[in-house]
Amino acid sequence: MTDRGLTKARPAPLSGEDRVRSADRLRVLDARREGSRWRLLWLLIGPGILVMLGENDGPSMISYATSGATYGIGFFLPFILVTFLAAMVVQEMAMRVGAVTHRGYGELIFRRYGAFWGWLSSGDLLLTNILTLVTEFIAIRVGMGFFGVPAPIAVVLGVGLVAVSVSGGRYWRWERAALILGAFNLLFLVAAIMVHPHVLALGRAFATWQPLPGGNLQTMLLLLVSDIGATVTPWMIFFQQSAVVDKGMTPRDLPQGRLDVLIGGIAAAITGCGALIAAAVLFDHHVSIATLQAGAGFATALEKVSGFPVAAVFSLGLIEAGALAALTISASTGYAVGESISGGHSFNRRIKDAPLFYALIVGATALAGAVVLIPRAPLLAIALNANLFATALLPAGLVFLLLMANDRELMGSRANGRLANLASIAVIVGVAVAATAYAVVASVTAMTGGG
Amino acid sequence: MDEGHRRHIYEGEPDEDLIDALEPDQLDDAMNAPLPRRRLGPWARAGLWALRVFVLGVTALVAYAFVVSIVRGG
Repeated sequence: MTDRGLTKARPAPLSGEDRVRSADRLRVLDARREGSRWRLLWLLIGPGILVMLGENDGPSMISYATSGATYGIGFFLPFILVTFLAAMVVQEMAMRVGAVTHRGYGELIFRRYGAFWGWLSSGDLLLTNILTLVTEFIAIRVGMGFFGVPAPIAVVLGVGLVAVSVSGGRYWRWERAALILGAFNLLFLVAAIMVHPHVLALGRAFATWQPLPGGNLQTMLLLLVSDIGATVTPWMIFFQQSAVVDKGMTPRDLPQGRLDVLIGGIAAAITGCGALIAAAVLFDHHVSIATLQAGAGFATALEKVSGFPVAAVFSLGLIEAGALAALTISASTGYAVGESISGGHSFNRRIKDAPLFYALIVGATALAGAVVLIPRAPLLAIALNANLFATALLPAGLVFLLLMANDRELMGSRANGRLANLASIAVIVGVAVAATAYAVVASVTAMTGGG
Repeated sequence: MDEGHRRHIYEGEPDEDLIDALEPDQLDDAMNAPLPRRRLGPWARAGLWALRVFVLGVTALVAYAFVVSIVRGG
């Protein structure tokens, strides 16, 4: 990089991590030299799609489905699209900062803004990631439970998937395996098509945002913030910036990186809307949301209303959503802690060269899986509060991302322009207002014994 | 570039080809080099203090709600 003033002389020996990454980069350079645009895109997509589909995780899909089952097809359908637009603004910045600086988010906070913010960010991420991983295992357990798979086997399969996925010793292999799994997020779209939604109602909802949600203000507010928390979260920033660095993307790859974010955002928005539309059939049949036990009863309720195939597809979708998020969220945990303590933090390293990185990924996943199996564990409280923690602490994460994206010493000519800053500030203000409202409502509910 | 040559370099040699595929500050050694602390103006420092207050306040509310829900047997 010539415009950052931070370059240094090339050392002669290549590390194992350099060797693996540079072999992948040679493919990119060849594709660019040959003018093969599709091959170039194929080689460079990944982090953006994974982060967007990864955020369509178990609790997120249940949140969208709950919105549909509570209010039907209306306001929340276009609202989901807006939240994904916000996510795309944020993730484009994370991708750009990673590609230009070649440093992860956690590392940049530590080194540029000091230990307080560094430890607060990574500590917050560790806590919310473990809570969120628990909710992913709840989703996997619920999904597999529909097919009669016992909970311990579901948990072992989930932890085993994460352990196997990190054993390849190469970022590229991990990313492609995760992308294949992510393709099954489209099951929610299949479920939506299978319930034969009213096309006119869909068109009316997107065009007019009608009907508006009525009834209990607190329920509406919680779903609103929950849907925001289902789309923009701290782990996404950590993950994408670190994954872009691990993949070896450079400023020349920014156009493909932006396409990656766009494709991921569109795919995730479609499947998120799919979950809402599939569950809206419960609203049409006046199924009480109170009987759905925070998502655990969706498949059973859908089976009664729409038949076994729809319920089975929805359950398979939940398994995929939980499994993919287990991969990406555990990876973001390994990246964040590795960057904070300046330890090895790359899928391009062998296990013996980055033992803590791999141990954190598998350990955090195993810990979350074990929590799900504890008799009488407060799973409902964890499921409800995981998104709350993430949303409440998101504004701080977004502020630092904005500071990094405007840091001309690091970003040079790739720093944020006026439009990007306006869009980012709008997202930060919106999230901060929603997070504050959510925190106040939740704490008042706790104080008054409601909820 | 013919197919044979491409396959040869993908297998990891020679080092010169590999090293040329990475930007200088993308190498493992360079990525571990220290970065200077960012100098912030008074407004930015005040903003970060406000952010600390916000984060700690919201965290306290959320933690309270979380503990209460667990105590109630969530």
